[in-house]
Amino acid sequence: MDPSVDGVDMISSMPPEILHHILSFIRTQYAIRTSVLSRGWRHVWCETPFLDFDCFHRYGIRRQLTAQDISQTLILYRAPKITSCHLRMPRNLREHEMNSWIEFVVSRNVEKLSLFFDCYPNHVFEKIFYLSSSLKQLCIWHCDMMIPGCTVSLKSLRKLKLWDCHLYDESVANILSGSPVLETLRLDYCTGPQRLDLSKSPSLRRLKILWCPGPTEIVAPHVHYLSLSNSSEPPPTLVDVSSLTEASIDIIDSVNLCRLLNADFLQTMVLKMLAKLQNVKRLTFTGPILEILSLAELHGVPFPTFKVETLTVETNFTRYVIPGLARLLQNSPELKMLIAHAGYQVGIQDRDLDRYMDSEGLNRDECWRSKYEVFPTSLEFCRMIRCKDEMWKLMASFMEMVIRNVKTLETLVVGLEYVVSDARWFGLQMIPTLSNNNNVSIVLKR
Amino acid sequence: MSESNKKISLISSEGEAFEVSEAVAREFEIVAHMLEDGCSGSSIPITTVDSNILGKVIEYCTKHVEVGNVEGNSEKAEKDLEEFDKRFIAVEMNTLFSLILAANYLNVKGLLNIGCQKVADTIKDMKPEEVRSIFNIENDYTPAEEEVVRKENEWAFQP
Repeated sequence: MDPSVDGVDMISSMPPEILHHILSFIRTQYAIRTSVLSRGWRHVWCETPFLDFDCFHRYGIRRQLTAQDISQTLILYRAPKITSCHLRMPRNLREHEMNSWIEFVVSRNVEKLSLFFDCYPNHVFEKIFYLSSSLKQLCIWHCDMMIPGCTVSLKSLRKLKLWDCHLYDESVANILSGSPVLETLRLDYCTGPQRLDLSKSPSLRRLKILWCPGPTEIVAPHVHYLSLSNSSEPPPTLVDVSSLTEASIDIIDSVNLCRLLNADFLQTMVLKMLAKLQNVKRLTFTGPILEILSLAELHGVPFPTFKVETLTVETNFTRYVIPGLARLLQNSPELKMLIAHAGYQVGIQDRDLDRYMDSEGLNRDECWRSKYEVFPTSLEFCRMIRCKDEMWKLMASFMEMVIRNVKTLETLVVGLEYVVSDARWFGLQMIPTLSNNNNVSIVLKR
Repeated sequence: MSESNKKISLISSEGEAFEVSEAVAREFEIVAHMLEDGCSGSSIPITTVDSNILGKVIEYCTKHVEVGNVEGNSEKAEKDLEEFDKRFIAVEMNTLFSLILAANYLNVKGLLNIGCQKVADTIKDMKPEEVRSIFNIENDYTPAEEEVVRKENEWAFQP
């Protein structure tokens, strides 16, 4: 814009911390290329406290990184402190090469480290790795041999994420007891540990477990936030989660569901888990938990009382979820907000639920006729989505059902954005009629 | 309520006053610190940032404060904000660097990040000659020197 600055080299006059910040967004290979721009740029890359060696290129096949590339780069690297290092081990490495790089970054006080051992699941870390006092965030991919041969001391570690690792109970216990300020633990696609005991991690507030076969027992008395996603079959036993205030549960592996259904096993499991979530203030359920609760409700199984204030469910508004949801609402005397997202469930098939009800001697017609007849089957629901009038009626029935079953609710949010592309017409027609005679404000998300 | 409605004047290097809500001014971490340190004056001089750039930084912060205040529709709001950021940062180079410097000085982390990211994206897929020409960088190496530097990390220059 300003002609006086035209042609001026603004980038080179930036303070070094800004240049480092810019280079932190690109891989080290590209950062190094800036060394030939001019004399002033020669050493900018090697003082940048970020290293990113990823041997996989997102676009097309390019030359693979070699051990020599990385070693050569580290010889020239000068930053005394490494804020962040991402290292994906290329092929054909020797153990000592990987360990020398890890030792290098640890000796430069690395704070955030992610290590991918794609081809080396049996990599064994050296002691120095387990003794880093600077490490704040650690992510490890594909490592089955995280077995510290020493007493772990990761004094600054706050976040730990393990992805596709095999974990042993004693090793996990050693790592946890050596990480006194650990706040967040995330396990994705890991096998083991059998028993996850976090009772000696008083700072650990957030626990996230995604698709892990095991652990079967979770002891987490200090954890405030728990997220369990399709975790295992059967779902883990929550031994102690007494500090939980927020939980997100999506627990059932639908593939194995039908097999388990007959045993009443799931109902017991899910209800047992719910009993542990009684004090949670914010609860989110996805997956077919509501269907299972419905079966329990139709069976007359007693439900615990919940202290939940905000309940989020993803559901398909079918008759198979309503009885469970209604009971959940009745048993939540402190509920202030209900967020119900319409979604396409691929949990339990209607016919499996029907078969189960038949085998248990539950008269389906009778069950539905009493209160739930206005709610569709899954198939009918999918059809309704395409018909505005029917969807309108269903939403109205759903909201009426909710309002009938709550006393303290202040806000009801119904999310239709996943199933209805244009739902703008909804709000205009029905909110005024429903909002009469109760204090619930209704929000439609579309 | 009265707290959040409080107005603060930010004064640009040209002396122009920009009146903003306290919530927006607090997006400037440097201002937030001043307020916390008991600097209660209602006008704060931002002497190193000119009116044009200060106006833009305020536009950025206002949008982010607005979206942050809306409850319960996170996904869509996030998408909108991303779109806004993308459009906001699509400026010519000199403005981009002025924004980065201002964001760095005022400590507006989100803006600093999108600014630096934008420059990084520009550098990433370009040959050194192209980077030089885009940013007006004068090559003061002799050809021999440049060759030495290139050789030092030869692997990095391979595609």
